Amino acid sequence: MPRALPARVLLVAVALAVASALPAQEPLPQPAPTPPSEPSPTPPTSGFAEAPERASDPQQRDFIAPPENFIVDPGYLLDPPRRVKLEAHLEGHRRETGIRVYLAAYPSLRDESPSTRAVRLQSGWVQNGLGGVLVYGADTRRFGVAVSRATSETLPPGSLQGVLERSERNLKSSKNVALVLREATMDLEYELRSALRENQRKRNRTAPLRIAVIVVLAAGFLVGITFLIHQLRVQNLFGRSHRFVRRPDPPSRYGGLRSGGICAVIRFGEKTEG
Amino acid sequence: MGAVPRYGIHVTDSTEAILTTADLRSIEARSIQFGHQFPQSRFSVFFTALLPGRSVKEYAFWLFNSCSFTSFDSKLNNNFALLLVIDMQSRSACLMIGYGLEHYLSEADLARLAGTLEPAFSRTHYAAGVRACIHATANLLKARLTQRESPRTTAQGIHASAL
Repeated sequence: MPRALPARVLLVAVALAVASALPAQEPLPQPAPTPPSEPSPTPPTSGFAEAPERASDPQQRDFIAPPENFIVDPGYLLDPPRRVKLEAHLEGHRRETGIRVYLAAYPSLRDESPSTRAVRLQSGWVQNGLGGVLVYGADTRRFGVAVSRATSETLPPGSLQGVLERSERNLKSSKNVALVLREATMDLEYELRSALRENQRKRNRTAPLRIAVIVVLAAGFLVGITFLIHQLRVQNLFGRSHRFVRRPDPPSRYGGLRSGGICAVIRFGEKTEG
Repeated sequence: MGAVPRYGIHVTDSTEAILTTADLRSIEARSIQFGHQFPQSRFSVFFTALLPGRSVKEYAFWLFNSCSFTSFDSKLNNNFALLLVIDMQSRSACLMIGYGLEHYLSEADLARLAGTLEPAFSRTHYAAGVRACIHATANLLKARLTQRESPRTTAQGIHASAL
């Protein structure tokens, strides 16, 4: 019996330690096949669908945390292998170009249009960076796309409309929603990447011109400053110099424009000229 | 006379054997100081070794009119530059002025100024001789400019006292 007391104390202590180490929430269901975007109370990737309803602050109600893997798919419209591939592709694209492309596919958008949802998500996820959000509402079978302001400046007009039209056309012709979603995302990514590359090429093309303009302006500035200082000295504004008075020009002598040949010649040393 | 030689606006040693780097720097410093005293002017020094029989005076005239020794190219009465050409072959030196300085320096003045070269040059102290010449030229020009300003000052003074 004397040995049983320390064993009990030890058991209680371990139980308390385990209890304190666990998060103060209900245990999650077994995570076996659940993808990270499944709606659940824990952020960051899976809480976006529940967050608006749960947030009490009206300003925070609209905020949805950006998914870490660039894809939000609470209705499992994408099959897991394709989803994993697409996530890897988007992550690689982000690393390569810095452009973040998100796909958000919802079974229902309730009263919101895909475009409105896309704009709202984009303002929270991409903000001032390069990238965009493609939203799909399964109930209306419509797409919405929104890109950040920095991205829209590089995009040619009508390119986003083209993405939407192609995606919806594909949706009509194909029954494989997962494939269409993947194609639409890749299409948006391609448009953004092409626009960025074209923008970079244009900037590179004008770089020599810009450098030349800067060099010319700098040279002009330096010459101007030098001339100004020289004139200030000539006018003896610093009070340290002397100024010659210019007289009317004489006719040049012996064709000399700078000197008329007024001079003095001396010989020095032992050696003398004949 | 051939092609225009490579020259600097302050000092040039085309023989590359007469002046040391320190000499060049000391002459250049004095020339720059001269330029600060007289911003419209420039005292340029050119060491050379002409072919035998060549006149240093003709060479100086050609060089003066072929090259622009002032920062801003000035011609006729706008040219207040001085050029000192020293020919080591004939051991002679020529001090020449631009049109603008003809109202301030006469040939006699120039002969006197060129004479300041001789004591140092006879001891082969070329840099010291050139510096002495620049110094004497600056002093003479300063005196001349002060003289030209003084009658006006005197007249003003008389006018003031008469009032």
